Amino acid sequence: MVCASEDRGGSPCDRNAVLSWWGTVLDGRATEFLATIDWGAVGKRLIAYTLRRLARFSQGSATEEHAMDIVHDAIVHLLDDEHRNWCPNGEPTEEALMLHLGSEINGIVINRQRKVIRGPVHRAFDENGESSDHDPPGSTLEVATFLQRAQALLASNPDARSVLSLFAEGCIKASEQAQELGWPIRRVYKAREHVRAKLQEMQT
Amino acid sequence: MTRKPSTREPIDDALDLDVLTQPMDDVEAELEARGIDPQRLAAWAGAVARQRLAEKRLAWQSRAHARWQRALDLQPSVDRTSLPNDRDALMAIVQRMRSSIGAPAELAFRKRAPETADIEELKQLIEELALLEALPDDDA
Repeated sequence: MVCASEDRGGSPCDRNAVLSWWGTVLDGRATEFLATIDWGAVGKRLIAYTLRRLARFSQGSATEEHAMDIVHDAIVHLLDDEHRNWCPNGEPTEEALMLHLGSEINGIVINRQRKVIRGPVHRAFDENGESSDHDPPGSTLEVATFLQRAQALLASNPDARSVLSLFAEGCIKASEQAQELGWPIRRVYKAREHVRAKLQEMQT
Repeated sequence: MTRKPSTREPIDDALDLDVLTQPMDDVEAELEARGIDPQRLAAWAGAVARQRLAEKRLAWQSRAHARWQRALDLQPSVDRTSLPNDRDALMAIVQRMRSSIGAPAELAFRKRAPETADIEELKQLIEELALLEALPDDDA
């Protein structure tokens, strides 16, 4: 057994380094990373996101308490489940964490909404993928018609119109839109906020 | 750029997601506009996470200690003298082990390029990969 050999010369098998690599692969690295996160800031973002999703999917129940309940569940699921694979590349990042939590929240909102509006028979249909009536109102509107209406509503806001045009072309991410338009990201976010507000009006 | 959306859903989804990345001032302004105190929320979220993290770290430390003990008892499974002295053959072994071990092996390759390693370095890498391969699974 070469590794165990003390006198083989050359570079020894660095067992401690190997064990160290192994240890970092395990839950520890993600746990250490999670300890560095500003959970206060994360919490604010998650509550705001949850309120947006609640407003979209279950109008009338978008209260702070309801959002806190959902965010609490999402955080606890993440931190209690040691095998949760939220950084699939093995490299924990804040972006991956936020996307994971956002996706978790989205799932909780949709599932809870489904339970409220549907009975067990309909839920069984959902499981077979044969129903989509948890979709928010107006979401199935033909996209060209929808974009046309949105453009009209945003007539007085050229930035928002530019952003909406990019959405229509499939340029969805804020960072991509900033690059495409040559704008600072903050300007893009402002324009997207106007778009979001108008689209929400169209939904209600 | 992704393909053109066929419904409004991906647009709505992307716009809602902005709040996870946009400047914090905007997030706080949105919360305040809903009558929510952002600082109170931050304190609440921090407390929830702190408590869970403390429990998680304790549990991990305990598991890591047990794994470390098991790992120390392991015997390496590769005899360096049995390895070929041909660079291509060693590279083939490295590649095979790399793909069979998966993620832990990738960490062994950090800051190391087998392509530029000499024969002795490749043999050492194979020993280390063999140790990684032999380490017990999490639940072992």
